Amino acid sequence: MPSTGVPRWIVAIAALGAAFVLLPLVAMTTRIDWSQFGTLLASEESIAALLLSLRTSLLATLLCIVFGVPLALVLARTRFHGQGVLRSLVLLPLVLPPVVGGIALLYTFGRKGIVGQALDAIGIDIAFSTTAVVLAQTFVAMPFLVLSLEGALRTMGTRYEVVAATLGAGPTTVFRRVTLPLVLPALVSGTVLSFARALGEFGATLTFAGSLEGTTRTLPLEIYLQRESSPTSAVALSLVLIAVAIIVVNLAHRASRGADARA
Amino acid sequence: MPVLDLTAQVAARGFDVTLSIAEGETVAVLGPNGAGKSTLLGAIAGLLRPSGRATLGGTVLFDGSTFTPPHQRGISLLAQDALLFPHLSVLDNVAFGPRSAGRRDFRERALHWLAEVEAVHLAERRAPQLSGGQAQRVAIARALASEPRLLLLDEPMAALDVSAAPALRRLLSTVLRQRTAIIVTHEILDAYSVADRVIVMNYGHIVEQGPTREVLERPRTAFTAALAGLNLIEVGDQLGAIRPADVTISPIPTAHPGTVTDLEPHGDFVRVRSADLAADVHPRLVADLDLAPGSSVWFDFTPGRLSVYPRV
Repeated sequence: MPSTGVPRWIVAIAALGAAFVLLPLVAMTTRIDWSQFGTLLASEESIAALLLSLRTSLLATLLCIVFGVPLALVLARTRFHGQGVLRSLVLLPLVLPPVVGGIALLYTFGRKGIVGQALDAIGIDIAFSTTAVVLAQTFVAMPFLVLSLEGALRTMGTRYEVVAATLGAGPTTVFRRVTLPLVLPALVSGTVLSFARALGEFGATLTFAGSLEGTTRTLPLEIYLQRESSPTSAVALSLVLIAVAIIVVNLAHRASRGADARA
Repeated sequence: MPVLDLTAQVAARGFDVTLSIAEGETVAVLGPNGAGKSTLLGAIAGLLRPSGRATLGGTVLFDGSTFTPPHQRGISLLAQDALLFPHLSVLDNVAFGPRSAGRRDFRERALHWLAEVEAVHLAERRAPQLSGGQAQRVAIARALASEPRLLLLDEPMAALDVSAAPALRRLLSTVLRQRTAIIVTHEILDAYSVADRVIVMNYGHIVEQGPTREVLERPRTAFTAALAGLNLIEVGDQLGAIRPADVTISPIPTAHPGTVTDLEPHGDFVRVRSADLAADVHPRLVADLDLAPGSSVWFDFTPGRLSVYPRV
């Protein structure tokens, strides 16, 4: 590393920073009771929580893509009054404490919320359901996708899109055949970030969806509960959460590198 | 019968141009940076919304109430950089236009146009694997494959290295024959080799226009003369043009005294400039006469070398 010209004292500080992130993970693995690891994980509650987490996170990620891609495109490619305000609002969940997000969602989709009231009238009740879990995760995760995609769109510029248009391609064709393929690496990494954020979501979920086993108790909630009753199984579950996160990040990294190589 | 009829103003850029182009005519637009050449192309291609009115073959491109979006204009734009889509093969790049138009034979069309620019052997390559000259060749095929009614070229040779430019210039003069096109360029050579007519722009306006040779060999403004590399002098109530190579510096008084403003090496001779005239002289002469900016000199030339023509 010194050959690249990075000062040694910076390398030293970087090493400290890395240790700060890695040590807690190592510390946790030292507390795992490997002999009981299997049984701990195989418990009904654990499996239910894991499956619920995966299901809701995937759905939330899908919603992030469906709404986040158009949002990023509108923010990066158009100009209108109040655009700055819209951008701030869309990115607000990044800096908002998740509990506050949960309360906000409750006042929107709760039984007495501004949208919830109307939904309640036609017999749809969202709060404290699996749907609420997905909404809470989407709420906190979408800014990650919008942010990374909007940045990529701005960096890419409009030169290729202009060429495509003068070759006779309509806006939808340009989007599908030029814009999207060119920002694919950013879309993949944004999607991964969103998924990881959704998977780890705790505060908004607890506030807006509660902690009902099998319905809204996701893996982070289960871990928090187990910590009181059975610390060893909480640690085991934590390790599973970390493993899932690492696998996903790796897969996505490979996918985006593949996309880069093709580009 | 003009195919393109345009009157466009962009107030913010001080741009105001009226222009007609006939079917099959190739027009070169010359002028310095910031003259409004790119604004002109942008207005025609639909990349900006000027006021005024333009029609292409009877369709309104823009006027007070209508604005035809770029993809419905049938106008292709070839830029300085080839801008081939990096995620597509060369063949898919060229097929992009016909495919967007919904043509089923887009592959055949692409191969046909790749053959026209002698680049079939590159078909399976990806854009980043091409040299600058190859990429621009493919970009020309891609622009032509969309079968535009009007082709716009924005300094297509400016980004190429010197060795790649001549071959591309020859290719352009072939493909632009009988084609309606506007080419923006800095190079007089481009105008001579591809254009039927020349438009000279400065400060957002057309300052001179006409058949290529007429404009470049009989310039009416000092500006066009400078662009064409000619001296422009007044001969009675007429104008005269003469090449700097045909002007020399005389040791004895002549009818053209001047003060040297600038000396610059030009290959194996030195260009000596005054406010009115430029002469290309042998370096030995510069040394013998001890010329420097501020020196008083006499310019001289054989009257037979001066081409004299009316002002209008």
